[in-house]
Amino acid sequence: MDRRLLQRFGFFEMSNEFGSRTFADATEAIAAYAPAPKDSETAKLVNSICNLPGGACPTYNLEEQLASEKPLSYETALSISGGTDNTQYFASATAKDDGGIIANTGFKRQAVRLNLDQRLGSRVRATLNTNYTHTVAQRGLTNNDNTGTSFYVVLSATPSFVNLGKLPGDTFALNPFVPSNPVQTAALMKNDEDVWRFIGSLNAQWDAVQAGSHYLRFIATGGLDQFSQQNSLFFPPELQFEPNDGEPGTSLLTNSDNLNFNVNASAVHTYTPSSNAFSATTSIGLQHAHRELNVARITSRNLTAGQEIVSAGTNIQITEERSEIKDLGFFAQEEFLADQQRLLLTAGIRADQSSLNADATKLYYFPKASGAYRFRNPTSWIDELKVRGAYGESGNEPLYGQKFTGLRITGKVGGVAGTVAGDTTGAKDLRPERDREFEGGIDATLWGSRANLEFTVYQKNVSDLLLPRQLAPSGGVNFEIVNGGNLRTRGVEAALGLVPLQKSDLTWLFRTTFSLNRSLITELPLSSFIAGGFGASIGEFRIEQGASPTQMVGNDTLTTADIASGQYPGHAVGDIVVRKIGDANPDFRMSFTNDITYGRLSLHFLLDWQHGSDILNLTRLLYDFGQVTPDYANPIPGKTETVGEHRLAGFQVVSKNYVESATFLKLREVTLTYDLPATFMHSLWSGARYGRLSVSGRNLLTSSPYTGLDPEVSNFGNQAVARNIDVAPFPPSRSFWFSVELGF
Amino acid sequence: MKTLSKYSLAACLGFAVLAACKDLDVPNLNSPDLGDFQNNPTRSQVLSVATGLLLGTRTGIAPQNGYVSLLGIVGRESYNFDPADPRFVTEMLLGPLDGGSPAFGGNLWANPYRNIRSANLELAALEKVPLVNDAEKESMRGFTQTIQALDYLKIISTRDSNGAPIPTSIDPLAPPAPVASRDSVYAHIVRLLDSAAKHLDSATTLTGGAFAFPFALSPGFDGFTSTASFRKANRALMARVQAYKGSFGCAACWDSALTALSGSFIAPSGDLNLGVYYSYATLSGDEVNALFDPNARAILTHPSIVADAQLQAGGAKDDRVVRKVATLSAPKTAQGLSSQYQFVIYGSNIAPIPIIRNEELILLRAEANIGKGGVADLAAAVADLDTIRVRSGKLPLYSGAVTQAALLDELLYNRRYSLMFEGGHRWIDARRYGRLGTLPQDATTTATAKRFTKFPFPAFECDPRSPAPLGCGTQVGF
Repeated sequence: MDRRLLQRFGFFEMSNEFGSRTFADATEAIAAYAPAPKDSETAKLVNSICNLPGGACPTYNLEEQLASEKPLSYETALSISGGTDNTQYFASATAKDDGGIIANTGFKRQAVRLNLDQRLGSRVRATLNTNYTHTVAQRGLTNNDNTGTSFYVVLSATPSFVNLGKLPGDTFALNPFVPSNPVQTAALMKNDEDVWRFIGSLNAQWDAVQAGSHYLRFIATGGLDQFSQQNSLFFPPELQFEPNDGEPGTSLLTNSDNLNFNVNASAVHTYTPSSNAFSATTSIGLQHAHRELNVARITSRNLTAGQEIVSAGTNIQITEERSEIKDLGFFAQEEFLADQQRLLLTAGIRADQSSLNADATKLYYFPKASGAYRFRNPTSWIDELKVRGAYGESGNEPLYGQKFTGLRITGKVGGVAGTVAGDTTGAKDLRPERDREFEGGIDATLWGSRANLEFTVYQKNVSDLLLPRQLAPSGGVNFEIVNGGNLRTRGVEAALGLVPLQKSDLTWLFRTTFSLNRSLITELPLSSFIAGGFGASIGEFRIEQGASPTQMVGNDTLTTADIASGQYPGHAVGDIVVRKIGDANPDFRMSFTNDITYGRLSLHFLLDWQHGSDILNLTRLLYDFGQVTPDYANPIPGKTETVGEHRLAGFQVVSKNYVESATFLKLREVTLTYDLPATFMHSLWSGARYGRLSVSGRNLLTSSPYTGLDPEVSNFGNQAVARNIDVAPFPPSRSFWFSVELGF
Repeated sequence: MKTLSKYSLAACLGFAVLAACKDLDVPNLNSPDLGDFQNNPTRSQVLSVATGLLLGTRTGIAPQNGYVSLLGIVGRESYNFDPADPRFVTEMLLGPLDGGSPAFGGNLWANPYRNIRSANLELAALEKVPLVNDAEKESMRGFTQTIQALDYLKIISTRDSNGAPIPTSIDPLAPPAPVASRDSVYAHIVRLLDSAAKHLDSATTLTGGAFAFPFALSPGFDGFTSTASFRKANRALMARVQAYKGSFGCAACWDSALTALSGSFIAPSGDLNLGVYYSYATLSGDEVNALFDPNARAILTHPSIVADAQLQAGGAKDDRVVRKVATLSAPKTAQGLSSQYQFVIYGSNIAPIPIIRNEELILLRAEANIGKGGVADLAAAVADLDTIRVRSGKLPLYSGAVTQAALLDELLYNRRYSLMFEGGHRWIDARRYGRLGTLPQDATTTATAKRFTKFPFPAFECDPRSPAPLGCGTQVGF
């Protein structure tokens, strides 16, 4: 029986600040905020704050007032494994608490896991894996808003001479520039996401025939993923921004229940002739999956007595959304291994039907084939070289609801319920996308396992893309979900592992990966459409034929060079056109992992490098409008405009003023570990097998020309296309840890 | 043999599971299907869709970037200083209005067209639905066409000389209808209103008297829920449309306006606020009136409203300013603009927004008489203008010249203050009387504000059309 205990302690701290303009004195502040002679109120306000000697303005670091928590965090993990020939088990329990750098933010997780492997008789074997997890994420209030409440949106309009910190008596100053104080908001609000999740699977294998050349087995697997998620948000009426909508106090409660369940049954037969010249494995099977999700949201405003329960509000909005998906698939595959396991050929086909398609009874077929050959010791320095190639097709299902054309019955007008037509419709032949991929590559082990190299080249063609065809709104319906168009991706992936040093007491393992891909919309049967963003005047993502799907387009002003190029007939210098201003796809990405072991010490560090990719830095746009960007007032030699004014002058006409490169090099992790000597361990406790002490740091350094908080940013969350838009994100943090690991 | 039977056992199990799982159909769990409504409408569905037309026509009116607010900005009735979106100043004042901005220049289009389609779906369903008698059907046709006319009026008020398409098909996949000229759209609106009135009359005839609509109307239509009373609201809208056409140069339209007014709910000594309204509520699924901005977080009154007001006898400003505008403790500023005034017209987030009221009808009668221009007409106009001056503005009686030009100035002043921040009236009136040039050009930190004559077509409307019609792209101001 093996037992393992891991205990680590650490803390998080803010790793990058956006910065804010320093105002030298009241004159500078008044020139920025109260230029009109009639605005004496703001001038009075500025004078009352900037009252240091000489009219100087105080400077507060508002980001630090918001995000300077350094909370103690921990992680504890205990696991036990063991068993006999017939029964093996693994059990573990973990608890983790990551503090957040902003008040009332953080992440906690508790999880238990139990895996059991049991032989039932000589021919049957069953495996059970279960995992039960509870997580609580306290998320804060970040990214875009239109209400002046999100942390960095407020900071973008608040100059640095305003004090937003806590006052004596546990109160907060009112922000005179924006009716919202983010330090107060963080201290008093709640945004908790509480998830209980069970994932389990049961696998049973029956070796029906195991005689001579034939080995026939039947395998059945069942899996279950069930979670309940509760999001509770509370904004008490004491918050400075709450009374702005006339309904002070807001409480939100969302309950989601999800059940994913699948069963697979398959029969696998392997034929190996007595000569052992080859082995042929045939598999056939079927798979059924069922997914159900039910989300109910309650938004309650104007909370009586400032109570958090949603029944305390006078304005209560309730919505519910359900989805249910049923899939059925069949597969058959043949695998041929020959030539002393040097040659491997496989071919297979899958047939799938789904309730998500317009025709739920139709089967869609997806074939695949692959081959690989291993050369053993082809040259002295190559231990083994595998050459491989594969072709496969797969499908991407439509989302639940896309095939329906519905009526909306949940609306009311002045309290009276009415029905309105919906504004989306689905094509009558809505079907899965078809993804065809060719890939080829080599895997090589070199120099007596001192190096290994993997190299893959691939091309993927996706046809029948699921596209929201934007209809002319005068028809009364905005979108039709249709299949059409073609997307092509080509890429290269490589990984190299090296052991540059291998001595008795010093080893160094080095591994690097490289990936590069380029995508193109090769065919689009409908007019180009917007896939994300805020509009052409600021920058948006547009899907159009002949362009990268992740291209950013925006308004741009034609220059003399543009007209001279002849690409804009009918236009003149100074005309505004919408054209490409960037692309969210990086040129390439590389990572570097190093593991150096010297005696009992080992050092591990991981570097992550991204080259290229563009970000639309709208946080800087908001800061420019608030005149608080750190470089706003910097002069431009030979011009009266300042740096910030020059950028702003391009607002809506030169949208690439706010597009920046997302190139970065990040030191993601450094860990130094010390293995305690076995004698020392035994002297402490006879039961100890090993002990390890380590210190590590995560997200330690970021080197990037990007002026925003972090080049890995997405206002709209996890998106395939519309990423890399930066609007008031959560500030990045680094963490430091000390851990003790014991085996006993 | 042992092996074979095991094979067949497995195969049987497989097929059994297969057969059981073949039914993979999952219906729409979140809403009823439109196809069912189109093919087999039921009585409760057509009644609910009729109420839904009031929901649809209300969409986009009250948001802080909706019909009242955006037309208020271009008409210099209001500002929007929302710190989260500088485009309320940079696009709506400096311009150009951008059809590619769905929240600004490309706004105020999709929602009314969605409701126009809902009305067409309702009219088609009324042909088929069982258990609804002919009188009820006629009454609902009258209601549906009136609301459809109101939606077209809102569209053409924003796009003006760009025109607007008049869709004839309820199939959204049909090619988009060609863009019709402004005058064609107005002719269509007149046709709809007259056809609606005929249906309402036919309903009354079939039952031998007026009766209440079989479906529920929102509280904003209280007092206008029978075929006879609702017809008055229909005629009120017709009066507005005829007056607009008169100001475009249609001399005969002034008389049509007066005829329509005589069939409407005009009442010079009655409640000026009598009329039909968009309703708001805080119930689940309902909308609140976002023009209610008690702390002036975003919506401010344009200072010229206070500066240009005439004075009451005692020296106080026009009572419409006293009632509708309040002074803030400190001015709010954004991008160099400043205002120390906010609207107090909408007292809560469930305050209704007028569609058309008695006060406007009295002013429309005055306008029609001014347009006709005869001595008796102008005298009648002075009488109506005085009614408004005294009852609404607490101003002294009109003492200026009784000429068409002078009375037109007085009319536009009264329309500006009586209908302040209710539905973009100042901008629409300034445009149709060629006075957009009189709107102030406020100076921001980067440029001076421009005046706009119309909104462009949204980019979404232009992209599927080839070639793109005039009116696509951006609208530069002057």
